[in-house]
Amino acid sequence: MKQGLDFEQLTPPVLSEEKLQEKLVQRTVRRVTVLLAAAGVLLEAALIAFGITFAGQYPFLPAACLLHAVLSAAGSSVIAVIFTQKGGNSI
Amino acid sequence: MSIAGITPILFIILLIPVLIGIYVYRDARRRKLNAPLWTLVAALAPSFIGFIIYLLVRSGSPDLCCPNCHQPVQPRYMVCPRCGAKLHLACPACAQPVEPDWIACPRCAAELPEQQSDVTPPVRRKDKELGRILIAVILVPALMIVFILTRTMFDPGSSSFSSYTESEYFAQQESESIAIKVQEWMAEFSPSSGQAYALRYDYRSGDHNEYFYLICIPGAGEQHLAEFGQSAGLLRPTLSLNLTNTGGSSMFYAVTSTAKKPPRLKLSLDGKRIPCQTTVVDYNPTLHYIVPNYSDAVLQEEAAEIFLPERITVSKIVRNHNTAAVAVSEEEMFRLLSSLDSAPYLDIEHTIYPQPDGSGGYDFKDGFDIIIEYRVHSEYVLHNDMIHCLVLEQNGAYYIIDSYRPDDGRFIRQTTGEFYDMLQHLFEE
Repeated sequence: MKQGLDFEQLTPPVLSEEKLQEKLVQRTVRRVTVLLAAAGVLLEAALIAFGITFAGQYPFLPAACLLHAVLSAAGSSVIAVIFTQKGGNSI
Repeated sequence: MSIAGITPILFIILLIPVLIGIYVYRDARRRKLNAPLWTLVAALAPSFIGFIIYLLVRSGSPDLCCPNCHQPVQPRYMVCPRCGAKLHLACPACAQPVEPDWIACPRCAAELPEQQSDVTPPVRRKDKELGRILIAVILVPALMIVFILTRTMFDPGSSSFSSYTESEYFAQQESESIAIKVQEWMAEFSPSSGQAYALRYDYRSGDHNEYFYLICIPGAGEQHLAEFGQSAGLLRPTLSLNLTNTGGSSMFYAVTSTAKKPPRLKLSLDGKRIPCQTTVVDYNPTLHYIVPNYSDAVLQEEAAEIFLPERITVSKIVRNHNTAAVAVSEEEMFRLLSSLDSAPYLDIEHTIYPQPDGSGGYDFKDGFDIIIEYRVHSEYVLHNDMIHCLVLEQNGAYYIIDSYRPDDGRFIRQTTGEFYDMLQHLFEE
């Protein structure tokens, strides 16, 4: 992205505190979303490892954890598609 | 099947949606959103999908407050209804909202001043709770992974090892049927294949697992053990056996391993890794004894035959010295073993133990003498170290004196009247 601004040709944008706050909120939401997505992946990995570790004592655990992972992946895909189609770039 | 063993982990996993639910409910109420609906969506959708949706949707309903009096305000308010602070730029003529880069009001065409210094825009509420939630949702799975890795990588279990020549093994093997099966197994060996052969027997009793290996490397001579050990692995432990080839007839290596999962065999001969063909069998091929525990055993009433996999059985119950023994059915045997193994040991300070000052002690006058012997596969084998218990009643309490498996000097267990009555009932019959 071009960082400089040609002040002789272009008028710099007028900034207000409201606009800056809005920008700040957008960045925070983006950062939180990325962190939550990473936490979700981490949780799925932990659940699958948990299921495998205790499979000997609890045979239903791997199946339950796998089902959870599949549901999460399907849900995440749907959300990603909707988010992109409904103007996710503006966030 | 009980889930008591994993309850703390399940509790921690369930704690995350509860925390998210509480946060979303409070936040949605402040923003005048449908709090119950968003709480359900955020808490129940897997992998924080609902929470992410909520965070995106809530941006349209900002949580604002007046910078002057800190009371909640709506984005459309021109002034704070409580303190009167000016929150947005407005046209001085018609009081309609305007933007800072406009030079004229679009409604009344009045010229706008270049600067309005008395405007203090509403501020967003600081969201410290969201930071805490984020820390929790990242820390909990991270700690879970650390816990699982610790459990799998740092719990190698334990193992014991012994070696025999072929003649020593068959001389000490008390079970003829096992000796025959081992000979049949040896007949399948291919000395030129350069691989090792192993028989494995899995013994499980509740959470306690033991794996008995009998290993042989045909055609490699009487190998001397260079190194032996059990180490932790990512999914299961590894049992390493490093041998040196000295020529001569083959040897047997017996290994008993206690671990949560059957260990992976890693055999090396003269420093070179060799493959091993492992066969899982339903008998203990080693000369190591199994000392089972019946305390958590469950009798399956519907089973046509009571299966006693632990290969141990009550051989004799004698009322008192030199009296005749009674025969016990398998069901009675099961109940006896279960009662014996679940009886807790009494502390050494208990009056049933002989005390240094001469007080205490027990008097076996009219109790029961229980002899328990090992059963190897289908045969009963008596050993010198077989379990010998005395069951007695003293001052209205019932005790088991167990000299075979003393626990830190404690060898007397407390039992119940029902157990004593069961023994009496056997003799009445």
